[in-house]
Amino acid sequence: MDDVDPRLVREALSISGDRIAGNMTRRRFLQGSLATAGALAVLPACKPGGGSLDQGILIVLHLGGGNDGYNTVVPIGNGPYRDRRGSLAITNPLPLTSSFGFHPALPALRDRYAAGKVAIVQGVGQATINDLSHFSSTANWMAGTAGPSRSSGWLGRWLDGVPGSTDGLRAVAMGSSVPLHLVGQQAVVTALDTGGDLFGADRSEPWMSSVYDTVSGFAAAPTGKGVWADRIATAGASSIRLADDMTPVFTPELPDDSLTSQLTVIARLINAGLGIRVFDATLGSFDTHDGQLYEHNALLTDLDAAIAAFYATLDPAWSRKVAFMSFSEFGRRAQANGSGGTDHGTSSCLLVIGDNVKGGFFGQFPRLDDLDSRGNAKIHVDHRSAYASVLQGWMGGDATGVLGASYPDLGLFARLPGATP
Amino acid sequence: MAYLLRRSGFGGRKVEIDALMTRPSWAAVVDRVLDTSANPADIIPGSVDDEAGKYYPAWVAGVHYWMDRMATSPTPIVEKMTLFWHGHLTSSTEGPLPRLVFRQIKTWRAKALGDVHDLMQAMAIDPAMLDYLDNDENVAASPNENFARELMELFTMGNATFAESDVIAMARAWSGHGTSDDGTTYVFRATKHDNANKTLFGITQNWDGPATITEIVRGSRQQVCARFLAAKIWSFFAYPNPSTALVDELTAALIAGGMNIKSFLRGVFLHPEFRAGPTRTALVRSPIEWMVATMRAVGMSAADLHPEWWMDRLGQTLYQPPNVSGWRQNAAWISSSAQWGKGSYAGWVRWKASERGVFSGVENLAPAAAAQVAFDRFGIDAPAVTTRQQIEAYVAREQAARRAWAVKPNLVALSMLSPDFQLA
Repeated sequence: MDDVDPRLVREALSISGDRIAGNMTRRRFLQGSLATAGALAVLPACKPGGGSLDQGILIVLHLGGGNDGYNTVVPIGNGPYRDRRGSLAITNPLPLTSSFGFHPALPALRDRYAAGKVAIVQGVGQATINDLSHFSSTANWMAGTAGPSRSSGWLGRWLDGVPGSTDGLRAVAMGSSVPLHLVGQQAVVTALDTGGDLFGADRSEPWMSSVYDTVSGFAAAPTGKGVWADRIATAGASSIRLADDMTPVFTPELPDDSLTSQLTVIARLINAGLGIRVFDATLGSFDTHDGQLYEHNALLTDLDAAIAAFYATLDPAWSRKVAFMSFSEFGRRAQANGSGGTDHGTSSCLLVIGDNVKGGFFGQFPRLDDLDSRGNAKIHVDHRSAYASVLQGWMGGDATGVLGASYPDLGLFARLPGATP
Repeated sequence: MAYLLRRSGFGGRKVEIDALMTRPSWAAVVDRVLDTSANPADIIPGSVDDEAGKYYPAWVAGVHYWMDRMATSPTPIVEKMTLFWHGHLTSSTEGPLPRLVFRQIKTWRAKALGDVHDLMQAMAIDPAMLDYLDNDENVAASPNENFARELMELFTMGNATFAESDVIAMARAWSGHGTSDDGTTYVFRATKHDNANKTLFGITQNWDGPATITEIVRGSRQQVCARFLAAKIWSFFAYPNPSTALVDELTAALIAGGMNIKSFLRGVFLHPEFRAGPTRTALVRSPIEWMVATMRAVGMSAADLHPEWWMDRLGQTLYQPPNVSGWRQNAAWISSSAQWGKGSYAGWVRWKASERGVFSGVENLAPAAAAQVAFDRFGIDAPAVTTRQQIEAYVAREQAARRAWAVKPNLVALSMLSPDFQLA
């Protein structure tokens, strides 16, 4: 079956817009190394208990293409699963409970679950929309609204209410454009490629600095050509300064734009203490209409390695302030197709990972022997509940205002960001 | 004149500006700009007809074709207005097949400066649009309201100018208007069409799709429609958020001109407010405009400069508006990410242009003369004092440091990255 490349879907739902920081007061925090001591100096004092929502950092993991929940969080000893999946069934999951286990490519994540740091929400899907096209489902997930509008995203609208969000340093998207879920009305998101290539960073030869100095110099005085010309000039100068400041984030160089590289950059940015609250990273394509066993295994291997690499880079002082949330535009069908894969399905799992997360299972398993008339699994958790839970439990702000309606809070967090047990 | 060339097209070099200056009046210049008799024939290159799974080459072929047209057409107003419609009557190649979207743009190009009614009728039965807004799935037994809503809210009338019941009636009116099985041609299926009375805009009759557009553009909703389009077109060519009084004037003009776009644009370009000082600096060039203006300045094609490699970073991917409401203006184009992208693109273009001989010998000129050569080439007719100072200082610095070789390529980059060149 021909399908739209989920990467194209994501790009189509992106803008590269952000607007620009005028005020680079945080650049001083980037002086010196990103490793530890410098960053520690600017952290608020930690006391036992304590913590507050305004310290919460969220890393969104966009698993593009429709991740198969059944083979990620695998039912153990489940006849209908084996029957419907046949040779696609995972027979050697890493046990989490007596009923479910992780795909064998997720050993580090399994250990994290055992340490109480993984919340698994089952049966998540689009409760009020039937369309299983990549484009509309991705747009629906990203918009996160009660209504039909798709011109902004749930985190974008949340960012609109965050002080300083017009400065461009409250949200960073890895990649060349800003995806819809981060798009708001005023909030500015900075799109960063793992390759760096920030104009203003490379000063290896004197002639280069001369060019940057000239571009920065366009803002040396008001242009006399109106507010937009001035803003453009200022944006040029600020972006050059920011590029210079961000050079440590790309040192050592990242080898590629894999999820591991993306999360490594994100960890370095968190260590830098810039005040960024939201990050976005992507992995895909999970659209496994065929060759699922091999492809899904490779993707989950990447996911496991990337999260491990993230925590290896992250200064431990930040680990209680960080949480991951995965999302995918839909799941896969219960029944395997005839091509060694699965087609678009309705209900899947969503993972929330972090030191202050409430480990365990939430929602309800979408049973393979209780399908609807189209053979699709039932949805037990509206995807917007996951958002409400993250907003209310981790990020702060007005969840109902952001989402346009009130959705149940699943209670996915054991403590506030920064709080110690 | 440079200002008119930037707004009605994609800018021009000093030689083009000087040629226009020989006209006896502003009105004569406007007439020359709106004269589309030399509009080149519009063909679709074969490489645009993709095969399944070969999306990217087809998209690139389409990008190159259109950007080359924008950069070289003797009648750029056609391309500029087509770009407006592309961002207003949106479809995107992430949904419909690229070759359908290219043909859609060809339709807009043919009708861009004509009668709004004609354009909207063609739009409603365009195969890419029927796919993008799901009207090809809108059938009497199971109506799909997506197109019906956007037709009114985003394309012709605006937010809060109709009732929810109008959406339902409009969807019913458009039921059965779909496509062939392969999605490439418009097909009306009477058996899928809701052939009963519907109440739309308070009028009860057996509405069919096309009649609803006539009602909006020529009938009881003409005021609302004209107001909506007049304001949006003014925002695109002059400045965003025109005052109520100005919109009143523009609305009356659009209606008086029979909802004809060329006639409306003539009124826009002749309006004293269009020539006012603040208007001249009120718009930021969109990334596509900026890249095309660059191509014009250095005289190089899309195949030379590969704008498609940078579009994403700059925030405007041709044939892929981010959503059905199109692209935003001004502030949306200014950001760290966008400036990094522009810097990166300028960093690439400078070497390509240099290889091609652009600004050959400029390093031997005195700084002031070198700067002026750059301004003339890039159509920067009134550079900011700071811009001129900085560029002259750059040239002097490199000459003094015995790095004169750097001047030739970097005058290209610095011109591109000047605030002046980023203004529309």
